[in-house]
Order: sequence, then C-alpha cells, then structure tokens
Amino acid sequence: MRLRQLAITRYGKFTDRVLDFGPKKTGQADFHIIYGPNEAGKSTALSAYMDLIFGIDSRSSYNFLHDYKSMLIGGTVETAEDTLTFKRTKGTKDTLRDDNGNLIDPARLNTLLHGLDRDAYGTMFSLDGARLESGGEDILANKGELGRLLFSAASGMADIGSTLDTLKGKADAFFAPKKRKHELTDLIGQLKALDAKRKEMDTQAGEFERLRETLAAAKEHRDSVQAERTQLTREKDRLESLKSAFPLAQELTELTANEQSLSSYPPLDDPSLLDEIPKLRDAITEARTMEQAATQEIERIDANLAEQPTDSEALSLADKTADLEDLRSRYQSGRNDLERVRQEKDEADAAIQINVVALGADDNAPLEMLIQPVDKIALLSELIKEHAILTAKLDTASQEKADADDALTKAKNETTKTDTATVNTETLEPLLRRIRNDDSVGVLTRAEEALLRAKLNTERALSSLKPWTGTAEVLLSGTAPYPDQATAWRDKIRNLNEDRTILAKRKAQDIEERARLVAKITSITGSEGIISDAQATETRKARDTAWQKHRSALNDETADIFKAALDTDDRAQAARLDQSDRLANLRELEQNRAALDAGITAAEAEELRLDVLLQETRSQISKVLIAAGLPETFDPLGLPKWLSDREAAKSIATHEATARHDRDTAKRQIDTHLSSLRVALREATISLENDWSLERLLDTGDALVEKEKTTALTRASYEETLADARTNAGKRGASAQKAKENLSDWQARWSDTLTGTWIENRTPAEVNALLDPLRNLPAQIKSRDDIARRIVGMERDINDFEKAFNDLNADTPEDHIDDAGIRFTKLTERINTAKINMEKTATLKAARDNQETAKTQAEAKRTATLERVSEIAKRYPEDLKIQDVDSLASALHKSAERADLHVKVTSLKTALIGLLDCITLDEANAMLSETNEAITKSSLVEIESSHQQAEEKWKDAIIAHRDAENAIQSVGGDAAVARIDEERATLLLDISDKAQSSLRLRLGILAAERALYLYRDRHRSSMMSRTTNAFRNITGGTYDKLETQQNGNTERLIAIRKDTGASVGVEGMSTATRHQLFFALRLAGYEDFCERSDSLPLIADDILESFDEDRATESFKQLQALAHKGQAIYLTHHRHLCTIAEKVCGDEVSIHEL
Amino acid sequence: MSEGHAITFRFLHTADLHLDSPLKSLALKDAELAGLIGNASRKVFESIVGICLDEQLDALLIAGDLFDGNLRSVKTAAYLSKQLKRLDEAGVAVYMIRGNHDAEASAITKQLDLPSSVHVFTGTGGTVKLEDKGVAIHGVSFANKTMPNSLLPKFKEPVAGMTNIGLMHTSIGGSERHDVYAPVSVSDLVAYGFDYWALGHIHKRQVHHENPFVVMPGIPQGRDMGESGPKSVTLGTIDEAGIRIEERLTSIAEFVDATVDVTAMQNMEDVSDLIAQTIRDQADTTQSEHTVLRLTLSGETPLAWNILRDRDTRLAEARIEADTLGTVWIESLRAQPSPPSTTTTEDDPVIELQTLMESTVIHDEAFRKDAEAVLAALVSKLPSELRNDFGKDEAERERILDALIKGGHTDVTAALHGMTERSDG
Repeated sequence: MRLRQLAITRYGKFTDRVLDFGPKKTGQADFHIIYGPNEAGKSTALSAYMDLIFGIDSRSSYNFLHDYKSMLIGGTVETAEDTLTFKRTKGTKDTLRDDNGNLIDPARLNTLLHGLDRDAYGTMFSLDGARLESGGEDILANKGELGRLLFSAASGMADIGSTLDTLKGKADAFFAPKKRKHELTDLIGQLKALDAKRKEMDTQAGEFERLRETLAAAKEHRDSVQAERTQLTREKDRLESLKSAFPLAQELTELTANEQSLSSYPPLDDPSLLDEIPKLRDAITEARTMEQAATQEIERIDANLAEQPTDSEALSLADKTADLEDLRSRYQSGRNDLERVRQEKDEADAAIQINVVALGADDNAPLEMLIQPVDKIALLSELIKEHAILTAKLDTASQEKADADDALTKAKNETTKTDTATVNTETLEPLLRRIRNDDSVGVLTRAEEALLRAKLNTERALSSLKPWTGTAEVLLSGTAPYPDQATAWRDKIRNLNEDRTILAKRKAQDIEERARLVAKITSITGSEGIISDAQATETRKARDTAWQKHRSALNDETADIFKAALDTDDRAQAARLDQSDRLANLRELEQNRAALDAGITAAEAEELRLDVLLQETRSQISKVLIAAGLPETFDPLGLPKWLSDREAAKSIATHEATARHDRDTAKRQIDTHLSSLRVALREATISLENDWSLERLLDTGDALVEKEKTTALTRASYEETLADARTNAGKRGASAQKAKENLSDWQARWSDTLTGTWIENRTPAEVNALLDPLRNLPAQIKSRDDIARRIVGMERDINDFEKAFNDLNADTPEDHIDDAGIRFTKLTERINTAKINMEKTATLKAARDNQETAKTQAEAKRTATLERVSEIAKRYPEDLKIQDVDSLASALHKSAERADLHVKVTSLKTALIGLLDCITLDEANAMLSETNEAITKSSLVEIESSHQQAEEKWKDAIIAHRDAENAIQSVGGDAAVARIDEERATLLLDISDKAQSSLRLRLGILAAERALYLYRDRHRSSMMSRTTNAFRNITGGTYDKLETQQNGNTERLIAIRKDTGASVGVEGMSTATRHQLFFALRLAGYEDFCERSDSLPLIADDILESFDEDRATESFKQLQALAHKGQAIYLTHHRHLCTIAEKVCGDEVSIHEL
Repeated sequence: MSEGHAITFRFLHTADLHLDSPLKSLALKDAELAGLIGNASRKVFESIVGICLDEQLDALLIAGDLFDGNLRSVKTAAYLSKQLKRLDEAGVAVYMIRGNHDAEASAITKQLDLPSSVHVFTGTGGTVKLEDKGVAIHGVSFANKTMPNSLLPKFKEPVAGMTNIGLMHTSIGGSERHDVYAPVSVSDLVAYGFDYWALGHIHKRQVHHENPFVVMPGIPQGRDMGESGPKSVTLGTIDEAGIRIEERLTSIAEFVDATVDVTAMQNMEDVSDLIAQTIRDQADTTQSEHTVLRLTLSGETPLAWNILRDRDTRLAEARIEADTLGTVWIESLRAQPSPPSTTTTEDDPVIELQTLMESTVIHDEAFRKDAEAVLAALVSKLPSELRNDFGKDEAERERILDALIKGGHTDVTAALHGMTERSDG
C-alpha cells in the first residue's frame, strides 16, 4: 500500500490542506520529503496520516480549531490492484466513508494494512531520532545477540533487550534461585514471626481445663476456711467484751462512793465562777502594791523640792536683756569692721586722684567741673565714629571715579579697532553644507577601490580561462559553444573512451586467453600419439591423393605409396579413435581459439570504428574551439568546466564595467561642486590656487565663515563695553561730590558740641582718648562718699550699745572686763540658769499630785473586791465560814469535782450495758457475777491463737482463688489469635499470588528467548545480506562485512573492518556506529517486509538531523533505494537536507512544502 | 401444625458460621481494611446475637458448622461462651447441631461452658418440646466428618399438635462436591411432616420449599471470592397465621466480581474512567457496608496489549479510586482483553514471535523440561501450605504449568507489544 493523497480537511490547525504524493511512477523511486519549518505542522500531518488509517483518538488533542464532531481527514491509498479513497471522522464505529458518504468496511483498509494495528505500524514503519538512538543502545544491551537484533529490526522495537531485562528483574525481585535474599524470604520470615506470635498467645485446651479445675478447688477451699474463721471471730469477740467489762464495773463502784462523799457541796452549775477566783485574788494583790508605791514616791519628791535653788534678781533682768540683743549684734560688727572700712576710704580717694591726672585737668580744679553729662559723652562717641566712616567713604568714591575714567578711555580706544564684513555667510554656508553632505569624495574613493578589485578579479578570471587569452571586451563580445552541447560532447568522448578502454581490456584478455589456449593446444598436440585434426586431415588428404595417383597409375609404386599413406592414415585414425576424449578437448580448445580470433578481429574493427568516431567528434569540436578562441588541442572533456568558468568570468567582467561607471559618475559630481565653490569663494575675494582639491576649498570656505562669525561677535562686545563705561564714569563722579558735602556737615556739628566745655577745640582723636576717664569719674566719687557714710554709722552703733548696757545697772561680777559685749554675754547665761531651775521645781510639784491620786484609787479597788467575795460565798452554808478568796476557791473546786463524778458514773453504766449486750445494769451485773476475770482472760488467750491461724489460712485461700481466676481470665475470649490467623491467611494468599506472577514472567521470558532463536533462524538468510549492504554504505565502507559468531545457543553479530580485516563486536563499536548498525538493520527489515508482502509507507521523522553531510548523503541514497521497493516519506524542518536529497536523488525525490 | 394457638414463636435460623475462620482476600493486605472487616465472623455472630436480643426472639437455631474444623484456640471457646451467656441472660434459647466441620467434639468444644438454655442435639438425635409455645424442635448432629447416608431416618416422628422444626446439616440431593455430607432430597424432607427444615452446610442461601419450609440460610458472611454477594440469616415467625420468613442482612463485607467491558475502547483514559465508574457504581449497589471487589477487564479492543501490560497501573488507579470512597476495596484486577482478531497478523513480528512461542516453543521437550525446573525451584521454597496451589498431582501440576506458561508468554508479548508508546502526539 502507498499513500497517494492525504487531505487534512478539518484537523488541528489545518483546514482543507491537501498533500498529494501523485501516482507511482514505474521504475522511479517513490520518495517524498515533507518540508516545513518549526510549527508548520509536520507532527500534525503525521498524526493526521496515522489517524486517517487507524482512526481518530477518542481524546485527540487536535480539536482546538475544529471540534470533535467536525474533525475530518481524507485520503487515497493504493496498491497495484486496488485504489481506496475514503474519509475518516471521529467516533467508535462507522468512521470510514467514501466520497458519496457510503460506509466503507474497515476490513478493506485493514487488509491493505496487513492487519497491523496502530502500535505495530508505528514501531515497524516509522523512524525517528530517539528510536535510532535507543536502538543503538539496545544493540549493546543485547550484546549483539542476533535473534534479538533481527527481531528489533523487523519490529522496529528499539528496546527489546531492556524490556526483557526489566521483566526478569521483576521476576527475580520475588524469587531467584541463586539469590539468598529476595521478597519470598522476607514473606516467609513474616509467616514464621506470625506463627511464633500465635503460639505465644494461644492457650491450648488441656491447659485451660487444668486451670478451670484449679479454680474450682480454690473456690471450695476458700469457702470452708471462711466459715471456720467466722465462727472463731464471733467467740473471740464475746470473750473480749467480757474481759473489758470487769474493770469497768470496778471503776463504777468507786466513783459512785466518791460522789456520795461530796454531798454538802452543790454541784457547780456555773463553771465561770471557778475562772473568777484568780482574778479576785489578783485584784486584791494589785491594790495593795499600788498603795505602797504611791506613798514611797511622795516622800522622795518632797526631799527633792527641799533642795531646789532660786535667783530672783536674774529673773527680773530677763526682759531688759532681751531688748538689747539687736543693739548688741550691731555693736559687735561695728567693732569688728571699722578699721577695714576706714582703709577702703583712703584707697577710693587715691583712685579719684589718678583719674583727674589722666584727664590732664588741673590738680586743683573742682571735680564737679570736670564731669561731663552722659548724653554729651554719647554724642561725642557717635560723632567720632561717623567721622571715621565719612572719611573712608570719601576715599573710596574718589578712587572709583578715577577707575571709571580710566575704563572709559580704554573702551574708547578698543572701539576704534573695528573690522568690517568680507563675505556673505548666508549664501556660502548652505553651499558648503550641501557639498559636505553629498559625500562625493567617499563615493569616488569606494568606486575606485571597487574598480581596482573588479579589475584584479577580471584578470584572475581571464587567466583562469587559459589557454584562452584575450581582454574582457573580447570575452564579453566573443562566442562560445552552448553548455549542453559541451556536456554532450564531453559525455560522448568519455563514453567513447570508456568503450575503447573496455574494448582494449577485453581484447587484451582475449589475446591472453588465446595465448593460453594455444599453449594448451600445443601441449596436447605435442604429446605423444596425439594427432590433431589438422594432422588427421593431412594424412587423410595424403591417403586420398595417393589413392588418386594410384587409381590413375595402378602400378606397384603407386600402390606402395598408397599403402604407406593408407597405413599412416589408418594409424592416425586409430590413434585418434583411441584419444577421442583428448581430441574432443583439443577440438573444443581450437574452436575456442577460433572464436577468440574472431573476437579479437572484431574488437580490432571496433577499435578502429571508435577511433574514427572519436576523431570525427574531436574535429567537430576543434572547429568550435577555434571559434571560441581556444587552441585546437584543448581537451574537450574540460570544456563544460571551461564554459562555466567563462560564464563566471563574464559576470566578473560585467562587474568591472559597473564599477567604472560608478567612479565616473562620482567624478562628474565632484567637478560640479568645485566650480560652484570657486565662484562663491571668489566673490569673497579670496585668492585660490587652481590645483586646490574640493576638500581644501571646503576647508577654506569653512574657515572664512568661521572667521566672519568671530569678528562680528567681537565688534558687538566692544560697543557694549563702551556704553557701560560711559554710564559708570558719570555715576562715580556724583558719588565723590556727595561724600565731600557730608564731611563738611559733620565738622559743623562737632564744633557745636564742644563749644563751652573745658575740652573745646580738641580733635576727634584727642576727645576719643578722654572719653573713658570721663565716663568713670562720677562712679568713683559716689563710691568714696558711700564708704565715708558707713564709718559714721558704725561709730554710732558702738556708742549706743555701751550706753544702754550701762543703763541696766546690773550687779555683774565681771566689771573688770572692758568689752561690754562679753559682759552682756555673762549676764545672759546667768539669767538662763535661773529660768531652768524655776521650771524644774514646777515639774516636781505636779508629780507629787499624781501620786496622791493613785493612792486613793488603789484603796477603792481593794474594797470592791472584798465585797464580790462575800457575794459568791452566799451559795454555801454559813457554817462553812467562807470569808476570803482562798476558802471560797476551795469550796468551788469541790462543787466542780462532784459534777465530774456524776457524768463519769453515768457513762460507765452505759458502756457496761453496751459491752455486755444487755438492757439494764442489773442484767450486766448478773452476767459478771456468773464468772470471773481470770477465767475469762485464760479462755481468750486460747481462742486468739486459734483465730490467728484461721485468719492466715483464709488470706491464703483468697489469694489462691484470685490467682486461679486471673489465670482463666488471661486466656480471654479476645480475637488476637483469630487476627493472626487472618493475617497469616492474607500473607499466604499474597505469597501465592506473587509466586504465580514471578513464575509467569520467568516462564514467559524463557519462552520468548527460545522464540527469538527460532525467529533468528527463520529470518537470518533474508536479512543478513541486506543489513550488510546497508551498513557498508552507511559507514562509508569502514566496515565491509557482517558475520555471526556462534556460542552455544546464542549467535552474536560481529562486523569486519575493511582496513584491517579485524572483527569487531558490538561492544567495540562507537555509539555512532551502533546507531548506524541499527539504522541498517531497520532498513533491511523494511526491505525484507517489502520483499515478503506488499509494502507500507515508511515514515522517517528527521532522523538525519544530526548526521554530517556525507552520512546524510549516504542515508538518502539508502532511502532512495528503499523507495524503489516501497514508499518512503521523510519529514524535516531543515532546508539543507532538502538540498542534499535533491542533489543525491535528482528527480526521484519530490519535495512537498507544508 | 397445631391449630388456633395464639402464641407467637420467633426464631433466627443460621448455619455455617465458621467462627474465627479467616477471610481470604488480597484486599486484606490493606491494614485499614483488615482493621475494618478483620474477624468478620465474630462481628457477624455478634450482630446475630444482637438481632436476637433487640427483637426479643425466642430461639436461635444453628444448623451446624459453628466452628471451623481446624479450630484449636480456647480463645474462640471463651468468646463463644460469652456470647451464649448474653443470649442466656436475655432468655433466648439456643438449639444447635454439629455439622461436618465441628462434628467431632474437639478438646476445645469440651471446654465450652454452655449455659443451660443451650441445647446441643447428639448424633443419635432428639426432640425438645416447648409446650408453652406449641413448638417441637428436632435435631441430629454429624457424628463424624463425613456422613455418606441420609440423616432423615434418625429423626423422630413429627409431634402431633405442635409446629415441628428440624435441624439438619446436609448437602441436599448430593451436590457434586458435597456428596458425603448426609445427602437427602428436598422431596423427602417435604414429605416428612415437619413444618420448617432448618438446614445448614451449603454456603449459598436458598429457600428450597415453602409450606413446609426447607431453608438453607447460607453462610452469614462470605469468606472469599467464591462466596460472593450479600449474606444473611433467616428470621422465622410462627403464629396463628402459620410460618413467615424474612431475610436479614448480616454480612459486613461482600465479595463482588465485576466485569469491566472495554470493547472497542481506544483511549486508556477512557478505560481508567470506566474502571472508576464501575467502582463507584458498585459502592452504590452493595448492600453490605464494605465491598471487596475483583475487577475483570474484558472485551475486544485495540488497547488489549496496553491493558495487559499496564495491569499494575490500572490496579493502583482502582485502589486510589476505591480509597476515596472508603467502602470499596480492590481484591485484584484481572486483565482478559483480546486484541481485534483482524489485527493479529503474522506480518507483525511481535505476533510472529508470540505464534512461535505458542505453536512451537511451548511444545518443545527441552523447553518443557526447563519450565518444570523453574516451577520446581520456586515451589520447593514455598511454605508447605501453598505447595498444593501448584498442583496436588502430576496431572494438575501439568495443567497449572500450562496456564502459567500461557500467562507468561502473554505477559511478555504484551510488554513487547505495548513497548513503544504511540508517537503521534
């Protein structure tokens, strides 16, 4: 089947795109290249083709433009017998229809596809780079095993080796006989672990029964022991009660008697009375103590008062001395400071004197006259400052006026240096710019360079045409034969030569063969007894001649001669008969020789004919050669190349002419520019030399324009400066005048101010020196007067105090002391002592009053306490004579004791009745009277011992019973064991399942390996030679043979190197070589398929992308050869591959652009 | 049957509990599922007791095979005692016979503490008359593991004026595999004069006859794929109107074998979708809480080889889908698709190779010998319980080997065939 047409009607991005592969041309390769750049849709086209023949995938991704419902692919496929045109829609059934919409039975298409499904077709009939690569890798993985390689080649499966290895790995993971560790051992380990766990957990039936028996016995034992223990406990309790009852009864009797003895004391109804006794006793004691203490204190205070002194005179002076305190302090500071202040006054007088001298005034002049008012001093100071400023201003203004005048003069001078314009820049400048922009000079330079190159090229081209000679013009106008004619001649001569060579070779072989034959014939005929046909003919002829002679003569002589001849002939014939085989051989050899002779003759004739033909052709050519300017001897075989070189030379010569034209145009342009420039420059009266270049003229023009522009700028600047200088000079003159006027105004004010003072007519500098002394003088005078006043004040304070003190007239023992201050201090101390003594006496009197009060209170308290005692004592009969606290306390205690006894008696009665479990005391007493304490005690000792034993037995029985129960309980009804059983069952299922999977795989691989051997034997003969051919060609002859090497059941492919004859296993090949081997295998597989059945289109998807040009060329040759047997479609996005294919295959390849 | 009594007698009829006999499913490799449905026999027995208690039934009838024969754990006995005690405390009487699996009183059965309300019929048979209910219960136990003869002659005559119930463990009519298990014909049972035959032994529920009733209740919880579908017990009510029965679902997990028809499918994603859909549909239709599902992919499809090859992937996908539901668990996934017959051509080298394997290699004596060695090598390493899985005798072993080889070369062919993915992207 071949693809005639693929119509991608609505599919992917295509709408109504048709790829037409045309009809199959007999004797031509059915080779197609589909070219399209990236994104052109090659993949889509390939997918469309596959979907056309196998159906559109239910989830096809080519629905982005045309949805699933509208997707449509059409096509025509054909075989030698059948053509099928159909359309394919998407769906699960009824997707094939003819042009009229009638359903087509899919079986019809299926038959054309040999029943191959999509996967099989995909792997067998399509090739891409990735598959080539993995195929090469798999060859290595398969170690060149022939069965696998042939299978890979035929099926297109690039990785059978790794697939089988992967499967084997899966099988081995579960179990491999030679491995110690695998999943199976793990799983069996788990199984064993479960069994162990189960054994540990489970309790067996026998053990369980024993446990149950133990429990029952333990329970029985426990129950009996418990009953015994209960009985003993009860008896023991009874005896214990009895034992406790005896001392109780005894105590009861004693207490009852005691209670009776206290009958005259009423039971204490108020217990707080007992608590009151200590308080009463304390109160009486406290009162007595307080009375004694107060009496003693009063006596002590009286003694102290008697010793206390008094100074009434001092106390009478107290108020007066207080009034003198202020005077006394001023007296004291006057006495301390007077001397120092008097010295200060002397210093102040001296300072004033110094100032007066500084003012330069007369020593005797009154100070008041020297003093100037403050405002006048300030005014003078201001005037002095103003004078300095005005003087400075006048100096500056005079200087500036002089400078301005100088500048004006200078500007006037500058302005006189003026230049006038010489050229009109407004016309010259645009002209210059236009010519510069034109770049005619650059154009000319380049044109000249181009012309130079063209000339050189032309020379080279012309020289390459040797032996032809001549100029470019001759070449361009000359004649030459047509290339087709030249090719025809060349081929004819080449063919004739080849024929001639072959003929000569054959003739030489014939001659050689003939020599060999002649040698053989000679050897046969030379050997003894051999008579050649020629000899036989000769003897026969001799015999016949002798017979003729004898017949006509009939005499003895002739008869003898005839007889001799007859004998000779007979011998010869007999010998020939004997040697008939050898003769037959000889005859055959001779026939062969004759044939060779004829052949040689014919060859010679043919040689002659060919020579003549060659000669004719050559002379025919030589005419043309001469016409073309070539010598007659020129080898016509080189003519096509010479012609193509000539065409190239013509083209180069044409380039030269073009370059020349460009140069001339540029020259003319420059001349035009030169003349316009000269005119323009001459207008500017510039002297020009005639040989100046355009560039120089342009530079001159530029300089002119530039100079003119600079001059204009300078002129404008000078004029501006002159105007400014004039204005400035005027301004400065006015300023100088104003300054002079201000100074004379100041002089008037100065004189006014000084007039009438003692410093009249003095200069500002002189006055300035007097200003500070003038300012200081009034302060100095005031300071000295203040000091004088302070001295007077101090002298007064001293007198005032001394007088006042003397007026006191105090009787002081210190009259001998001169300083009144000290005496006053002594007096003050005496008064203070008197005051302290007076206060102390007052304090003592108050304390005595307090003690008197305390004594009275204590007496009252004692009386009240004794009254309370009498009141309580009224509870008791008078004959008990209770009058004081102690007797009262004793009575109250007895009452309390009687109350306690009553309570105890009552509770003892109750206890006894309870203990003996009776209702009345009498009943109890009756019980006690039945026995006695000693008997009871001895009985109890006995029973306690028995009870102790029973108690221990009981505890043991309880523990035994509980243990037995626990043992049963621990067996339990839990599901632990059942769970393990379940886990175990699951584990076994898992092992079984995995064992089956592993076995299946292992057996499957075993079967597959054997099947591959069978496959190998079946296909070896048809495929090995094909693969060898393809491999030889693709490797460019590096390897020229493929062989196999047997090793047991396996047979490995090896390649033989052409250069060394060494055999190379697949492991020894380079990666690239293995890819080539896989490619060769695939091609052989395809060829094999074509040979066996009707072919199917082979789709190669850019497999040569990475091939170099030689390999690509060889590969295209192989594909082309294949395309003679089936259809080959190559998809590529490389333009250069199309070019190579076209070069290799000529018109046997069709290129379809997407 | 007695006439006119106004008293109601209600009973639950079950058999073949096979207490503590493990479930057999690869799905239990999933620990979560093992947690959910592990010890199913106990859970189911508890729910049976629960029904008796909740509905305050009068009696529980167990028609044999309460235990599995190989049961040796006292824990099971302890557990059973506890459950029977619950019934006893609630006043539900238990009537039981022994079947082939628990025929011989094992050491364990002796340890059973049976409450007084539990009545176990002996091998010689007997009758319990419930005078107040007007019901007579007859039963005959299996005395041995096999009872080739009918047990019917050992039953007493029906008690006149009472409703007669007979407990019998039998393979009925002698089915192919169960013929040594007290076979008896349904017609003989019908003719015997009892009102209700409470049978046991066959794990598939079947009501053989009504009026009188001949009821095989089936196992209350399937244990493997062979016991598929929902499982139940039978609740009987006897009153003045006669006998009525109803079925009560007990199985917590159902074994289901679902076929996924992949005929004419062209795209593997469609196959995956269909598998997922089948799983979801099953989740909706299963009555029990859990479904243990076996999927079988079959039909003629161009994807046949890919399906065979990628079985593991499909299984993983199915498990993921089932996981999202939480109630369906995948036991296994079997791939049995076939390629379109029109495309099995020897022009395809893979088919040629397969044909070579199928028609030549596997008949080759040397290959056969190697294959046997491969089988023997693995089987010798397996736990002894599994050896029989690979053939009890020569003939069976041959058959199994054939099946493994066929499966094996199909696997390899599938791996080769689907090896190169379609490159028409």
